[in-house]
Amino acid sequence: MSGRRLATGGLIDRARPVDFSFDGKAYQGFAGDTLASALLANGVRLFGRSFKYHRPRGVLSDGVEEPNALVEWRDGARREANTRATVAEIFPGLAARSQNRFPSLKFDLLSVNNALAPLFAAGFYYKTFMWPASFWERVYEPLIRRAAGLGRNAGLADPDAYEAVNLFCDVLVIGGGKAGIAEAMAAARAGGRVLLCDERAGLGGQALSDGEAVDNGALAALPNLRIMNRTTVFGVYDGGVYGAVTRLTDHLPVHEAAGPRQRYCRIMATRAVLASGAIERPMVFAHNDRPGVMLAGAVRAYIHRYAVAPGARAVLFLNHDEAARTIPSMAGAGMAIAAVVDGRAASGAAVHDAAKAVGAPVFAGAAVTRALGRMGVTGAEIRGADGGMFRVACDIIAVSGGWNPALHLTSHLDGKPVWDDKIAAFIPGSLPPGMVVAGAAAGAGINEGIIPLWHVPSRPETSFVDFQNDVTVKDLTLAQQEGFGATEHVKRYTTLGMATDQGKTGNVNALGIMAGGCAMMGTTRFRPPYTPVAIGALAGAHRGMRFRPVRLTPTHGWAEAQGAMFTDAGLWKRAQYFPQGGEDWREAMVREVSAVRQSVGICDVTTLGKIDIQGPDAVAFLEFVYANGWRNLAVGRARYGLMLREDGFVMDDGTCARLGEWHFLMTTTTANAARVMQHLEFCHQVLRSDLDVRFASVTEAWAQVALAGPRARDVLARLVDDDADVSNEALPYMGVRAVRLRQGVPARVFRLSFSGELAYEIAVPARFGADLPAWLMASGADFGITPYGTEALGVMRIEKGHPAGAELNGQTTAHDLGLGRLLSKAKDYVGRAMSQRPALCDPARPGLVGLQPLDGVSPLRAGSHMLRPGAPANAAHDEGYVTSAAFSPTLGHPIALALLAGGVARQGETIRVYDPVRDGDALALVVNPVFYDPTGSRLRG
Amino acid sequence: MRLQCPHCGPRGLAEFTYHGDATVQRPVDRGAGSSAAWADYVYLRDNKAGVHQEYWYHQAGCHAWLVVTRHMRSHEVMAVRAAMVRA
Amino acid sequence: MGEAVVALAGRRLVSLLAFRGCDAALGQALGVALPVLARVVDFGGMRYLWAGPGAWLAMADDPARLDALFAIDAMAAVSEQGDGRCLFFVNGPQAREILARLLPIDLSESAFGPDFVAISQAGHVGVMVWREGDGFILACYRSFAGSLHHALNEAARAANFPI
Repeated sequence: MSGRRLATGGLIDRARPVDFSFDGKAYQGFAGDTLASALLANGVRLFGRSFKYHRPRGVLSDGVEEPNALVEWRDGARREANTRATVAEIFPGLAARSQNRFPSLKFDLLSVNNALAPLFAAGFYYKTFMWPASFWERVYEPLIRRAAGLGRNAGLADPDAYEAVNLFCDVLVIGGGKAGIAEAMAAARAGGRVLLCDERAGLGGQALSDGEAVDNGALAALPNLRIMNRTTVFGVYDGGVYGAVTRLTDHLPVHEAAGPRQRYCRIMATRAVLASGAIERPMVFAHNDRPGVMLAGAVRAYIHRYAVAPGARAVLFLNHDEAARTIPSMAGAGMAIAAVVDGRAASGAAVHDAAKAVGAPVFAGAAVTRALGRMGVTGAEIRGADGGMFRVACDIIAVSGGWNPALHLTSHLDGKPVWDDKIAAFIPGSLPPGMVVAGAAAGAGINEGIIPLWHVPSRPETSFVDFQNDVTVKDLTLAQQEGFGATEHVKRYTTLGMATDQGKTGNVNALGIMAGGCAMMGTTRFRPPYTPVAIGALAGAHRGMRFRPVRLTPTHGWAEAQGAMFTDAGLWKRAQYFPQGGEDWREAMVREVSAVRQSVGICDVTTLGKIDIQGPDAVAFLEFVYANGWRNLAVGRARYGLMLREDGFVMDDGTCARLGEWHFLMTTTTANAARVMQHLEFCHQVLRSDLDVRFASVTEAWAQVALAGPRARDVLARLVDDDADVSNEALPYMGVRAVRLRQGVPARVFRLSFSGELAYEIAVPARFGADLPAWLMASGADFGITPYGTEALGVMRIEKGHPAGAELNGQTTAHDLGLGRLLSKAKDYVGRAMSQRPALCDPARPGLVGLQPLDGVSPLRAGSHMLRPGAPANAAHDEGYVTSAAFSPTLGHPIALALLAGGVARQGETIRVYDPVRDGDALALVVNPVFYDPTGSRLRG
Repeated sequence: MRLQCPHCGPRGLAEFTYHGDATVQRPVDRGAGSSAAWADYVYLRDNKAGVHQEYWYHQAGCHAWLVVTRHMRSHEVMAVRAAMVRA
Repeated sequence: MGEAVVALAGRRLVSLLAFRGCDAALGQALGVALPVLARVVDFGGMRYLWAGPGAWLAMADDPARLDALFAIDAMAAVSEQGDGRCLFFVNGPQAREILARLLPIDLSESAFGPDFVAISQAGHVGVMVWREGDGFILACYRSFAGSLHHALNEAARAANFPI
């Protein structure tokens, strides 16, 4: 008693046999088979073990709604768990395996769970595994993890490629059955771009499953219609956006599959037609989960699509007219029909005529009360209209409790389906903007003559509502008794509808069974995705090195050739240090810092934001966005600028150079370049549109290299042409000049210093950026000019006590950073008013100080907290934290910058620097944060 | 979600940066310190379950600041206009 | 049959950002009706791309002619931009299929005419896109060029598998 292949018929390609294996056993099918149809054709009934109780399970359906036949698909890194056998197309060499069973499908040790079922009622995990509390992490959780779950993840990196595509259309038709085909044709003939998507390999939908011919030849003639097969529209999003995924090569062996495995389509559609059909409802009776209990529509699909008779002898259990067409289908496939059980007291003409034609007995007003057999159906127990019980031998129980419109997509934007009493089904209620529904998805042409039969009670009873999560009628009753009767509560309390099938065959039955009936309880809200979507498909090309773009400076190639090690600064790669010999980062940093402080070095600073500001009101605008003043800045001079947020905290700092009466060049930190640009545009367009000023980002137009050290002027003199005067008088500290380099290239020189040494920043048009470092190295060869990276750059600025990113952390004020003198009192600027809040001016606030270890050697780490010596080490006594720390080659000991309650007024105090996470605990002296050259004499010479 | 930029046409959300409430007005600065009016402007916001105006910045497009009229519950976008109109 | 994705040599580009009330005067000074919509206007060997409200990017057959733009700095903020951009030419029968992998805007013939320009993103890289010859030009910031080139080549390979 099992399934077999029919000699003729079906849509499979009998000229192409396919060899595959399931649980290690070899089988043969045909191209066009799913794993389910091929195994049924080979007489296989047992496909898996259920989630909780490990009950034997077979195929229920022919579609994405399948709750039972979940398998592991493919091998190795490509292994995908929970693949529905009813949807996956077989290919030569396929190896598939059942899940959730040990040691084998036939003999599963954990089926003992079934015997312990009373302990595993709904919500059992809220009531058990609680004592002793210590056992949870060490004992219960590991055990539960091993016992629970369905398939196994491959645990390896996904070797397949995926891609994403943006598609635009006027009409998106979702579903390629008869209704969808008609809608697509009409839309295409009316003009405009039409997209028709269907989950299956070919169009035709339920009509093909019923053995009808579907003519879609006319579609090919429409050039403005694009048909996408094997494409599931899985989500509806705001603004007429739809998400879909196309399975490009899942039906092919690996060696035949070229290109991306799956394609994620972001579809922008002016209008959409949902023609997604309907999903059949099973009947709920005792042991209705046995292998051999199948949806009537699925029985017809296996017969007509795949030429497979799923069994030899069937009982048909229905409550509406359409299911009667299963009778001629089964008879035509050579199946005996032992009984037609109609739950309605008066069975309609459709049923009687069909049954009479094949000589099958009809039992009206009756119900199947129990499926007999354990590893597979051997018979059905039936209660007649008169209440009498009798048994019938069979190996298939075909069930149909009616059809549910597949309206999930209508609910993704919060639409609520409404109950239609006439057809005893939910139909779409409010729809996403731009969407209409057609065909069975709208409730058209289904459930004629239906009388709902939600549950066939019996004793004893184990009847399933949600097959995948093993939710029974008893669980629903328990949920109600415990007060979790509302739809959304039932779901979470019992896990109904929470499995990978999202309750497609169980949700509505559950609502029907719960007291009150469907009219009072709505469905839970459906959310994308409609069916599972591989994370890889959503990631597309954005993985690994391609996760986000990499930004390279114009000097990158040169730095690479010098053997630089790079670090990430946002999306940028910046040279961190230039190791020589076998230096590690610290040795390189020490050498580079020493070289700069004693002679001269170069460092790329292109990544800092550069914004070209021009206009009649440029000065007034700078006055508005910066805390300090700009009116008296002369042309050819630069000035440090402090920018606040409107709440009074520091946002960014930089320098701004005046290139002309109306022309300024602002710099920002690397990290804040985009944020500052956005801020400037906001301040102009929203707050001060009265000012006439324009902004252009020129960060990328100029390559910029810092030249720093006591010999910097000597090097610069050799770099620029003879006409340029770079003496201290001609180009003083904070001066700006346009010059020409010896090589004939135009350049701007800014005398700015981040290192605290005599320094310049040289900017050339970016196309010369690759050459500039080499020109500088040549000009400085006599002075041992040394490239230095961000490591040395960072150490030198800590030695100079410059606030940088770690101190400009969004929680510090100008006063905190020792920059209170920059806050102008004479003008309005962003942040002025709120910066004067008493709490922001409180001298007890954490202020910028320097730290050095008392013992001269203990490293101080950023993130450490500070305590008074002897105070308890807890948050109540926290005095602040270390923001930046480094070993100072110049001073010969570790140094740090920190924000200490009370700030520099506490100079001379001893403080405990406490870092329990990394075992740091040292005493430090509070000092002036400017460790090196506090008078700035080296800057101005 | 998509927004109709008045300069660039309909674009996806990824091109825009949300800023916040467009109904609040920056107090006129009279040189005084912080005040209730300033604290309101910086921190206090109504949380309407209805139509609202908000600032969005077309950072991947034309760099225009936009005022978007949007329904906070249905996400329906009723109107989009440039915050600053050029003479 | 050339390559579908070609990295172009550097091109001089000059940004013009008109000051308040100067949009029309700027056009008069240049002798051209500067586009107020997202369009490209060609005139006398000069090409002007709309780059935002009151903003244009100018290029020329003879780059030296762009020097003259710096003389009108009373009407507009003028700055060199060419050094900061890299240009890619995506062409051939599959150009739209390639760009559909990266750009979230409608580049079909009906939606993006021969004189259209758009500022958007290709993947995560900001680009300006317009049509030239039988293809499209994508201009990105120079630092992103390597990443964009890689993404375009990958999209070109993917375009061999039709949608």
